[in-house]
Amino acid sequence: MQTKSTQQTLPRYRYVKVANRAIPGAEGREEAYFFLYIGTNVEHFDSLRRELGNGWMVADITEARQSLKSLRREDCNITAVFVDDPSVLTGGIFALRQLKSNVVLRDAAFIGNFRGLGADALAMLRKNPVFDELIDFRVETALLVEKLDMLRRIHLALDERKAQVRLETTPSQVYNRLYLGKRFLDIIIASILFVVSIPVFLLIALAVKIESRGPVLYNSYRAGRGYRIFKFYKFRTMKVGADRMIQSIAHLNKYNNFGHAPVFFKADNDPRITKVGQFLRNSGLDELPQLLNVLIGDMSIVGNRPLPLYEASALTNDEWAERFSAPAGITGLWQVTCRSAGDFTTADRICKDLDYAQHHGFVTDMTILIKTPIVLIRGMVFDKESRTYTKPSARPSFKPEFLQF
Amino acid sequence: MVIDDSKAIRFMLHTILRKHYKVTSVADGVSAMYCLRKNQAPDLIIMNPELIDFPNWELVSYLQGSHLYASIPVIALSNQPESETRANAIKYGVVELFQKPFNPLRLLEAVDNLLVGNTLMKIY
Repeated sequence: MQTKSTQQTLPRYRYVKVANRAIPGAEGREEAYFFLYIGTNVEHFDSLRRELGNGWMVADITEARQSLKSLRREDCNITAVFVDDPSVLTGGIFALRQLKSNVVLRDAAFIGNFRGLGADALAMLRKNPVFDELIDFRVETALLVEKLDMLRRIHLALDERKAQVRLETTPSQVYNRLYLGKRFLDIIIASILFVVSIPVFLLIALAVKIESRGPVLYNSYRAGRGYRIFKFYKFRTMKVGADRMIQSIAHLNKYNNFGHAPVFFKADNDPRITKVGQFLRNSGLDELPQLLNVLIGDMSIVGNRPLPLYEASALTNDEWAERFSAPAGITGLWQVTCRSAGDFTTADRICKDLDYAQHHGFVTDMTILIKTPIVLIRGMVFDKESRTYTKPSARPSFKPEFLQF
Repeated sequence: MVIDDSKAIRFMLHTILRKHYKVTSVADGVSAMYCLRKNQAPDLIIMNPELIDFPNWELVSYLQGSHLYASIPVIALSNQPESETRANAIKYGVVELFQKPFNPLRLLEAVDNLLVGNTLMKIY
């Protein structure tokens, strides 16, 4: 239906610039939204022209390709290409891609007509992204300027920062650390410690069993590295059902959060602890079964303490979540540095965790590992002298912090 | 797809979701748009509505206003208090709104609920 003139590349409509609008990224140059319309609906073309200023109208992709030469000659900066022809939308994706790669249209946003698209065609267009946007040419031209601005912004940003675009498809692409050496050391150290401590294991198991009814091991779900949840083993130091009592003794919490929900929970004189449990806690022996966790691979020997879920979920903001990027561990930086008596705050503790997450390495790990028994023994000696492990009320508050949960 | 400028949050979401879903994470809006244009559309987007390059829900608004992307459900994971985000969440029709600090297990639950019965079972 199109009558090709002698100058076959000349489009059938051409409008002179009417309204000038500054285009973002054009550095203040006054330019109109110059567009190319591929289709035959004059009404659509007119409404686009009213909205955007001026443009060219061509009937199909072949004609569009031909017109590109003259557009190039005239140094037109085309902001948008509107494709109205449904057959082009569904069938001619390849031709459209070709058109898109043309240098004149490099910066243009490709916009298709949403109206009249079947579900199949729509699904296909979503699968094969060729259009930057789909709009309803009959009714949605009113907000077009904002939309084009946004598309232009995305386009310019993509142009500028394409090299920096990083898509992460695995966790290790987010934090690129493998911890092979650490894992190797973990297995060796944990195996040795485990074998050596088998007699102690048996003794404790017997003691726990004798004092109160219930299982020897207590397991709770903890959040480790990257919030991976695993079963965390300890000797049972509390009466069975202790977790459910936490609400009723909330006033004993040492971590004062000034009325906010508690992040950590820790109390002196915790009424739920058994006598054997108290000894195990004071000596740190209740943590022994975590060697199993290390051997399984849930956690490491040195790392940030894996937290109970109610505590962990309070730390998942931008500021604190980094603590979860480090491996979980039995002992850690916080346990060997924060020994001072008095009121430690949640913030202090998280700061140490973050510090570890940011700076850990072989040397840090070894230092912590060596300091750990020293700190532990100091705590135990004190307890022995004052014989306080049976009377928790007299216990100084700087007992080893292995015992906190 | 996960869009959040915090590396630690992205790492966490990867770890939580990777068991059942294919996750792609990006740090900013431009990378997200690159991903959306190059790849097949994801089944779900978990995003921080206040991104460095598209602050103030701009990208959510754009995605939800676009016929190409509006069909992808969005879970907003915001730093702002709920009082400030609730209105935007309703305005832009996000399916779920989470405030940091959030409970990752609740998020996983929400994702499971949204994608149940979805044959592709993939977030990206």
